[in-house]
Amino acid sequence: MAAPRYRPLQSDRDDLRIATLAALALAIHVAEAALPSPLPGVKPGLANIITVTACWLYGWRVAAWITVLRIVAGGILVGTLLSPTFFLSLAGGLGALGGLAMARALPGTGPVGYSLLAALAHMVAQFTAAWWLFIPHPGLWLLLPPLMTAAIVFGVLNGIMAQAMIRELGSQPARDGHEAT
Amino acid sequence: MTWTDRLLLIAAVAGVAALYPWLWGERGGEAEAVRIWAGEEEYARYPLDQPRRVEVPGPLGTTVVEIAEGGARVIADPGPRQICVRAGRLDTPGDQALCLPNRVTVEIIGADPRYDSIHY
Amino acid sequence: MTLTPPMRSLALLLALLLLTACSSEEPQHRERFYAMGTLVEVSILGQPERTASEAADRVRRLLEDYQARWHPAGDGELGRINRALAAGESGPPASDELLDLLAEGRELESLTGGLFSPAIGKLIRLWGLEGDGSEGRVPEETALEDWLADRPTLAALRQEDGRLASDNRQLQLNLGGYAKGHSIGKAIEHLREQGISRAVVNVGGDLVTLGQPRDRRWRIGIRHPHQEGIIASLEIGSGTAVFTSGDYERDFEHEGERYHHILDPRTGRPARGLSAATVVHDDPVRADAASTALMLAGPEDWPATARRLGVTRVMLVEPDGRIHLTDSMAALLQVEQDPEAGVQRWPDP
Repeated sequence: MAAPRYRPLQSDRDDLRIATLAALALAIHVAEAALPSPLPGVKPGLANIITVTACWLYGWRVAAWITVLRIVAGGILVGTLLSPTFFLSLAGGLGALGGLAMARALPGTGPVGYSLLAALAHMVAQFTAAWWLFIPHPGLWLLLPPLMTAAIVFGVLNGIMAQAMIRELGSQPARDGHEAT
Repeated sequence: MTWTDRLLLIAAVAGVAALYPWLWGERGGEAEAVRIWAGEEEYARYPLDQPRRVEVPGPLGTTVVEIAEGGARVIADPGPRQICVRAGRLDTPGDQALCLPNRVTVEIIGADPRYDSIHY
Repeated sequence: MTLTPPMRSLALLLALLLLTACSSEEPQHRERFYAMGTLVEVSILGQPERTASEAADRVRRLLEDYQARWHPAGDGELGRINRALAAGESGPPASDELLDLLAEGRELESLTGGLFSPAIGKLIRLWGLEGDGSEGRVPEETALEDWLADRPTLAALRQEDGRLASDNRQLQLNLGGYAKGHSIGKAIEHLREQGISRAVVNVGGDLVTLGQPRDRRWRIGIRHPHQEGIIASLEIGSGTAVFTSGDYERDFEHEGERYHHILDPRTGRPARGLSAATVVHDDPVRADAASTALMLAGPEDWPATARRLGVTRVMLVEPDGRIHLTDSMAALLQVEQDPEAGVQRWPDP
């Protein structure tokens, strides 16, 4: 009788990175969720520092994994999985990834640019989701200008912090998702 | 901060700054319905999302109001001066067209009217 | 299901939204009715429907009363006085209110150099413009010349024991140039006495405000009958009157030419040069009279007339659509449709 074939799971370098960074992002996200905020949607989004750093150093694919994992695991941990806030979070995350893709497509963007575009896209996507899914009320539009202002502020701040983190971890940007150096 | 970053920031700030006057400006609410008066009584009230033609009777004849594309307009009126026809399309809450000779008034209503009164 | 923190903040968001969207507007009650030959709209804020409705009814009766009393050829006091004047006789005793209004008329006549005159009732009748303008006609040249030869003014009106008389048989009183301002002013006073604190009385487009909404000013849209859409929007506070005289109000066509009801006492014919004159002023009588006088003064001489009358918030529209604004008016007003002929700014007169 032949032994059943098992294929051992090999984690490659990216898997390790994704796992570590996703865990880190998750921890930050959960901690931040415990803090009070004046309105949902106006959060510093500190977990995005991780996402931006990861995108810069290891590529968009890694950042995408981290985002999805963070949102789903965060939903489970905070207890909001499949709730309205979860869908808003998901929309925001997907938006941020779109912003990061845009940042990578533009020549000469730095981590601050990455973070800014991610934050703006995040807010737009979240707002759109809120409008379509939950609150199609004209009054909602009144919130957009301050929300977008917060997105700029936190986008830049997170970008600066990401820049610091990148300097710590190794400053060469990734090509095609492979480790540099 | 790279040069691209700086440009992005300037563009973002400019864009978001423009949002304030645009979305916070005194625009009034959305137009919700058209209210038609014949004489001193309300004759009919219709939402603006469905195209419709309304014939309103008056002492001089029939005034015809057309509702389409989120607005209303008077397309025919028996009055001598046709002022309400020339008023054109109405789509702002608080706005109105008056066919005084035929005693017909057409006004746009909404939750947050742009105008408290119309001067003419 | 308890409200977990994220749900709580979502609920708070919804509550905040509803609050902002409601924009803390007070209930507004609008009554419409036909009086004084036009559509009247009385808007009352912050009162229960019953109170507002009754108040509007009283305004209606007040306006109908003025209309009857002061029709130039009706059965009211003015009609009787006019018939006596035409017969060269002394009229029946005039009410104090009418006498006061005529005194004010004398002052306005003097300030405008005779442009504004309540004494031109005969001229108005010659043109068939005493009513709503549906009987407008071009008078015989000789009739016009006769009238111009004896051109009556209020200076020719004598007052003896409250009775009016005149040696000029052409003198007929017509209060159309300022009676509306007076009536609306009285209606506002009446509302205030009834405890109403925020209202707008709009008679055929001319309006006077009482108080103002809680956290903003009144927003008035200005429509010009020749044009499509709102041409300008105005923001005014409490106790403010907005009056417009225009060439479209009572007009008629004859042999291809258009004639309107703002008659120039100097020529006996409708004023030329301006399509509309809008005046904003705290005194409704002044605003009403000034809008007429400025239409008559025309595009050249209006600043002098405005200065003599003490009006600074003025908007004029020329037949080609060109808009003239004084600085004080421009501060209140936003042009919504830029006319092709342009907008011209003027310093306050």
